[in-house]
Amino acid sequence: MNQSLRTFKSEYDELLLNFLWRQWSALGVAGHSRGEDHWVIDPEGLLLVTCTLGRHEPRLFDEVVDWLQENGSLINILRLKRILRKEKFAGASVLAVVAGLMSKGTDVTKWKQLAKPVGPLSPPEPFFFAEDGEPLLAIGQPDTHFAKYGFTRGPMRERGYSQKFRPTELTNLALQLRALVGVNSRAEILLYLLTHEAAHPSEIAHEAYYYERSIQNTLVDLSQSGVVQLRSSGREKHYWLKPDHWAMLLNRPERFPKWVTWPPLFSAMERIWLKLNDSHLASLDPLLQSSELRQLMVEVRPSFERAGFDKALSDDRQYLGERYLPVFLEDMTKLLG
Amino acid sequence: MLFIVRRISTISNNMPTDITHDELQKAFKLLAGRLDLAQTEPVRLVICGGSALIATGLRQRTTTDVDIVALMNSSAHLVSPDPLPEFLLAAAKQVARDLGLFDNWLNNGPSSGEGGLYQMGLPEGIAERLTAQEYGSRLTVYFIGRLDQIHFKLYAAADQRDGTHLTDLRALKPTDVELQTAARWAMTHDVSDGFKTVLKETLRELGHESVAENI
Repeated sequence: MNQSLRTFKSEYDELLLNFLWRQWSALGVAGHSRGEDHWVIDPEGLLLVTCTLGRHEPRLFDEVVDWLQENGSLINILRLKRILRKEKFAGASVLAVVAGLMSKGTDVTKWKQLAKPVGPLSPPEPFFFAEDGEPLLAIGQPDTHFAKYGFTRGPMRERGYSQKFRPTELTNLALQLRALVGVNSRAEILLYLLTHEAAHPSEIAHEAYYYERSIQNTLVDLSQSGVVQLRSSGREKHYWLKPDHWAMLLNRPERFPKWVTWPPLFSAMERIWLKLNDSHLASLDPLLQSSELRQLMVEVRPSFERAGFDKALSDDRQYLGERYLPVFLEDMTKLLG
Repeated sequence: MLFIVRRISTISNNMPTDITHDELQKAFKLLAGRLDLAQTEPVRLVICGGSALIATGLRQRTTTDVDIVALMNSSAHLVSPDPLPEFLLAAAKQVARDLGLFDNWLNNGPSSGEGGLYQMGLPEGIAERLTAQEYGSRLTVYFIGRLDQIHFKLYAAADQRDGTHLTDLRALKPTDVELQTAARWAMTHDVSDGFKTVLKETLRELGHESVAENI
């Protein structure tokens, strides 16, 4: 791998893992300093990307599982499944392991639907990897739960350090609303309306990964309360909320967080991560490396567009051949920096 | 004003690149790399046209595409390039994006459809006159020889009345015998009197009056 790509890979890994730590810490995961982000956190999108990247950061992965024991009831399984169906994520088999761990107590039915091993079991593969991509050897007796899913790792110990999420933290609006009105489409609708001036049902359904019919019906019900407002222009119906009233109700004196459609962005960032961590990429000459990264970026660009982050990306057609490599590095640094 | 200048420059930067000798080598090298990455079966291309002229050093000019006249199978027999394998088209499409080439820079234009060169019959002994160049384990490119270029260029010059073919043909400095062989072959592809008339005109334009009289 050429030096700039090698250096960048380390930087990208670090920036992305720091970003995940920051998001999880804001939700109450122990062990990392909190940031001052101003966007809403998407717990399902975050969990899906962590299922892949967490394998390179054992402490984060185990802390997230720990956090789920405390807050897992607020995870929306329907939404999780729908995101997984609509976006490319590589961690479905790891999600099954997590769902298996969560399939106990009152949450058994909810998580069990995701707990089936994905695909035929191949020979056991190491669960965690070191920074250089080498498998981390299991220390102690292999964990039997992970072994059932074809993964080898040392025994998992839940430390119990994670806390209940902090409801009034700026970024935690999604969980706060779920705690208030339930883990259902109502919470997702309120979240979307509180982070937008007004919205059409199909827009909410698309951005929140819900079925349009379900959102439509719930909005009709909600508008009957006189709290969710409706304005019609022609045949289009737009729903809206009075943010000041909700700010008082939710004990949020400052403002509501910024909406980001995280799943396509996480999916794109995960695919870039996987490509950069593909040892085969390192063995290619710069022209072919550029070609591989260009091909990937053409594929993931629509995901960046849907998440509203495409402006950070250069037009690759302006940088032919190997000239694209430094441009790619610059774009990614801009995006994560 | 500045904005407009910048816009024009942006548009021109996105124009497909003409292929020089070096660009051609780069394109084949990259195509081979992409085939390796996709772990495809080996592919052997038989190339005619401007890119073959450039690659074999018969002409120093640029081109916009690479014309595949045939494929060679694993038993070293020439086979039809119509249709081209999907994996090859996918790899070529990525190379076009990487190097700013035309989308169909690698095409089977000369041998597509019933009236194609391969379908109507290639010049006798073409396979023995090929020059092979290997690009890794999955791509071998065979460039047609000078005599076959004369065959194809004469046919194209008469058929399409295109000055580029005539210029290429002149640069190849064909002899009377070569042109006579080429003209006879061309007439098997188009047996019409109209074509024969145009062919004779073309030969006269090239200064080969006697060949024009003999066919």
